[in-house]
Amino acid sequence: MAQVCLKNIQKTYDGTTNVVDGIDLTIADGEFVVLVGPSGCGKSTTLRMVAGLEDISAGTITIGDREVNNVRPKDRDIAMVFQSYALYPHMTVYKNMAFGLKLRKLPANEIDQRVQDAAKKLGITQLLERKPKALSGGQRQRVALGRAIVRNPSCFLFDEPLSNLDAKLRAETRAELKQLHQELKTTSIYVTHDQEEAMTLGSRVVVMSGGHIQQAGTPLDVYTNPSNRFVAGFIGMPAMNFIDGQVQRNGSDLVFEGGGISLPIHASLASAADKVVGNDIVLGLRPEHFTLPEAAAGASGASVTLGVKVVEPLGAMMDVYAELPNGDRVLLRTDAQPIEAGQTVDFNVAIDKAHLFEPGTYGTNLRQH
Amino acid sequence: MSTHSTPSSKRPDATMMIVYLLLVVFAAITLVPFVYLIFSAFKSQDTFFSFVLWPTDGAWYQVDWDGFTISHWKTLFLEAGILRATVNSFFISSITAILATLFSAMGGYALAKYRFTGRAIVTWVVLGSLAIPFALLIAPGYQLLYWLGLLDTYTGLILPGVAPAFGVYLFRQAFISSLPDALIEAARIDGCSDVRIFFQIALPMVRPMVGAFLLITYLATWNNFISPQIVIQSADKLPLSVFVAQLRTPYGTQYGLIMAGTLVAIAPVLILFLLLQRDFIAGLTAGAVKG
Repeated sequence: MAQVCLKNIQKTYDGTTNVVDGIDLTIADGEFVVLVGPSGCGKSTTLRMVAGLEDISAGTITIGDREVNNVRPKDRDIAMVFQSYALYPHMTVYKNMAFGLKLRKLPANEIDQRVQDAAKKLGITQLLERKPKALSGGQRQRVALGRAIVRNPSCFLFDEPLSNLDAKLRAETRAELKQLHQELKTTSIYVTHDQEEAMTLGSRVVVMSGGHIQQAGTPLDVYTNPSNRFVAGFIGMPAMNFIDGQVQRNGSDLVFEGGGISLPIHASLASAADKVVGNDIVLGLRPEHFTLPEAAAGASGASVTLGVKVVEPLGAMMDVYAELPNGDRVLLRTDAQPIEAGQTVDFNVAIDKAHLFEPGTYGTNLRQH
Repeated sequence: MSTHSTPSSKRPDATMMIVYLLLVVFAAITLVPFVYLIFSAFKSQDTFFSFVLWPTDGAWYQVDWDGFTISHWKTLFLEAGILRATVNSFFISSITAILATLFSAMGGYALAKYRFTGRAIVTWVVLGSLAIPFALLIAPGYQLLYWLGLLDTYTGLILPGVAPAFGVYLFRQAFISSLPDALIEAARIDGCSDVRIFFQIALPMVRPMVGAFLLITYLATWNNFISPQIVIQSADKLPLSVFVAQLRTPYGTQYGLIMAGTLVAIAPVLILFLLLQRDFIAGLTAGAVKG
């Protein structure tokens, strides 16, 4: 187990294109960090640089107390689980798991012990003599995990390992991965584009975009206190609603006006909002922060009247696609109620949970300033 | 009344019968030269020109056994030295096939999986060289062998064929379609060197192509006439292809002898092809379908 340190990591292609542009990140010993972001954000490239599969254009990577910039992948004491599993199709499961250990010239009985232990932990002992083509996707995933576990590495690297599984299996395997990490306590770096995976697996989530880290924090932190509009919109399902508008003075109070609605600014945002009166601003509200009047509004409630366009029942909850007076759509998630499309409904808004962002894709969250 | 149709496997219909009949006819036509060859190898000079297939005493079923002879076989094996030529053919074909497959696989692997300056140019040169007719390369090839002092040597015969552009390009395509990059990366992380990755991970992934290319190269080398004709001068180094051609003498041609020699020349490769034809076809089509 070891700390992994990335200092000003850059990756440039053709001398001009920076796919990773100055990443600073320290992953503590035993921590499970998830790199999450849309395709092309640089998360996989960053992981591959840690693995040694990509050259580093600038910066340093240390694993433990060793700088590994020019160290070959096999000597970095890491193990990687690939999206496609990358199992050797002409070898049995046993040989797949033992291959790396054989190359390191470990004694045969130790190899056997490690393989059997890992197989037992993953529930694949009965599969050891099969070849990968005779396994299901979930079984192959376990074998790929087993191949990594037997190495007893300082750091696990996961490159979207659950992407090829169906939703049910993905959820099951996610829970098993989390449990495995709790047992092994090995430093882990996990790459995914699925924010749900990021939130459930990581002790820390690193949101990336455009080759930069947008925010690094606990799952709850990035959810409740996104640093900018990109993080706010990427984390959370359904995604946050954004309404363009301005902060205006209404006597001694500050109000947000945009989309045809007017909402009071909560005291917690007052000082930040005061600095941007009259400027273009973006209000962010999560779907679950709209509630029906029958539910408790709370002391910081305000209300808006919206036209309901589509109702999607989800069981105990429902998704409501509603229209602002200016025609823009917002998505609300509330307790299931007898609401129908075409109705005009008053919704309470938890303005204490609202965010104000500067305009632009990466507009800063004023709540943090 | 049931509207289900009976399973078609029970009885071929009239159309299929016609197709089968045509196939049998064409197969028979294809086999005629081989049947002619076998019979001719056992006929004397007189009966060779008198009878197309077997010598007869009147009706076609009245076989004239005196028209058959094994004298050609005695001449071939006891006087002419066909055994030496056969050994030469086996040796040259085997070494060329193994080396050509190995180096073609290595070259194809490098072009498919390594990024280096000039890779695109090298690939285009390899591909472009396939357009050059072999006949144009005979004279400069001979000149080169002369300068290297490799005329009339086994090396001079084997060396030009150990890295064929056709093979390099075939393996390049096979590696691109059959060897995911993630497998190589996993092997690197496991601790494999580049050489070990090639032999333990990459080659097994293109096993059908390896088998097919071995067979193709073996057959091509076995049947090659021009190269040994111009490179080899010593009688004891001649392969079967040239040996049989030289059975024609200025003093008369024993056609039965030539037929017998030809039968010796084609028998091993015919057997090999019949045994391995599935791998042959599988290898040629290996890259056609994404696995």
